[in-house]
Amino acid sequence: MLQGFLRQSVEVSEFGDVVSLAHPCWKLDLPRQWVSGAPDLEKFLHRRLTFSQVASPRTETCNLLRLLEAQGCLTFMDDVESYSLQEIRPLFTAIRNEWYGIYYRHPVWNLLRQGSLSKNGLVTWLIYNYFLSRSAGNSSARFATRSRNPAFGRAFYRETLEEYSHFSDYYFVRHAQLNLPDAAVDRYVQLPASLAFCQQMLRMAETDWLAYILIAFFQESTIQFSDDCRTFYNEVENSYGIKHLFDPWWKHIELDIEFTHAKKLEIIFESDERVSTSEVIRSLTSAWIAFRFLVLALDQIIIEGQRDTNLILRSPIADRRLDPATNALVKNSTHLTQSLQLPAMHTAHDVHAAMSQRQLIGTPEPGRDTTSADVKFLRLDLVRSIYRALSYAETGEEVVALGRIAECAFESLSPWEQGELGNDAQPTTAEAMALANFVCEFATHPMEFCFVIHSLAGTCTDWSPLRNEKCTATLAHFLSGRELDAKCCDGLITKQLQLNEHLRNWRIKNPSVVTSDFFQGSRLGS
Amino acid sequence: MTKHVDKRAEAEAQGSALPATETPNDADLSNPRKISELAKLLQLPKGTTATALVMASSTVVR
Repeated sequence: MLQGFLRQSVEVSEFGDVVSLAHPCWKLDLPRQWVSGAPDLEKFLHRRLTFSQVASPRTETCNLLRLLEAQGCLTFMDDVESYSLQEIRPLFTAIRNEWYGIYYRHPVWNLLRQGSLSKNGLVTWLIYNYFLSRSAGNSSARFATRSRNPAFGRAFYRETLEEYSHFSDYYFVRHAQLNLPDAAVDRYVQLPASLAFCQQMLRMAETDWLAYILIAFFQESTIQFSDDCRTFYNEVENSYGIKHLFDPWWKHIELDIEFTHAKKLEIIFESDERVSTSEVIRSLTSAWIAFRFLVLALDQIIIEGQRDTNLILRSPIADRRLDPATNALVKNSTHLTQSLQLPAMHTAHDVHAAMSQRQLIGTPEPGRDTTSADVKFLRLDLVRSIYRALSYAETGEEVVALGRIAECAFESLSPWEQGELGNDAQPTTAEAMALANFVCEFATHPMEFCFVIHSLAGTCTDWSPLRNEKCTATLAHFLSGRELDAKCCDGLITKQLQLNEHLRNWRIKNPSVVTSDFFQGSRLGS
Repeated sequence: MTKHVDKRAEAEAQGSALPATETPNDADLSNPRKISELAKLLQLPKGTTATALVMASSTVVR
């Protein structure tokens, strides 16, 4: 595959006297007569010549090509052995600019500009930003301490300190018109895609240093749109009558400019460190999944905005009461139409039983293709998470329970699957990764972890590696011995509702199938 | 894969278009929202129209 052709993401069309180049972010209309006067250029635009093969004495042609190259309009090779970080930078610039086109053409932005999104939608978006900011310190610290590239990880010790408090310094939703206490924002149960993004960053921080840096760079580089951003904030403030709401956000942007975070990340790409092309593809796939969660979060913000015009937060469960009229999390994750209070419960197993009895735990999905790559990924990732949980077990009882569960799960794998456990497989959909990450992040809390995988075992009976009786009995026994106070019971109910959302999202008819056109680009919407 | 710098040198040696005219240092040629300014700055052929198809909004907070 040759390098330097015009990417597929740039659509070329001819109308009358104009040759039009449409990139996801912009359109260039060139005089047809001028294009016709440069046969090599014409061939380049028809993808018959590469960028370097265009021989032209005309300065204007040179300048056009130079602009197209800088904007990331060229293809890259995927059949070379490796890429240096210097070479990855222009590749990612091409991808990044395509992603910006997708991200910023999302309908949520105009709804916000015009004030057409309900107050509920507006608040959902504001809180989403709070969580994006809050996760930066988490993932940065994870990268600093756990990255498989310690040299780059070191740089994130300082980055973590620069980032960790920004959510509380700048992103609480403090405005008289909105009347949202800080505690309500802090307790808010994140949108599934918002949580999925934060957890994907944590996974990448540990297992995929390049993907983590690429997404951090993607985020920080949006500072280049600060002029548009200022305009946007003014429009939203005017549309909703919330003057000065974004003043602290703007201060944060100024801080980012002052700290030159984007530039600091860019310096990493000056390294001559080489990465195998298969690793590059893997990292771009991980990064794409994270990007996809950002877009899915915008979809979910619109859904929240359409569902309720009045403000209904996604709140954690309190006093075992599940009320769809006052809690958007309950509304979104259960079949309930009326308020329900679960009975008093004493153990984690009681919570599981009470919720199962009332169909508040997802029902088994028949006919799932158990040979799909998603299922293969989930089976292996779940087993890895069980071993991870075992590594964090503190009491003898936890070690024995998680050890037995690990044993059951491992033995349910085929020899081939057992051999694959050492490899980090990837799913075919972003939604499968969201589900896997959700489970994995509980591994440091054995009781919660066991609660979640017990539900999963009962729900995904056709593919779960935990579906045998010994495993279920071990989980039930362990959870029966975990006595809980009222607050812990509420916490488990909340987690079950979140799991319901992730399971449902994974099962939707049109999940986000991982793209693989990083090197050639793809047409918008394809 | 050939490095970008090498590709330029190679192209130049072959008498092709690159490198092009100098661009002021402060111009970020990769910014997709600056396409109109860049088209003017780079003096694309007379009659060229550059139009941004999307307007950026909020930064992706980190």
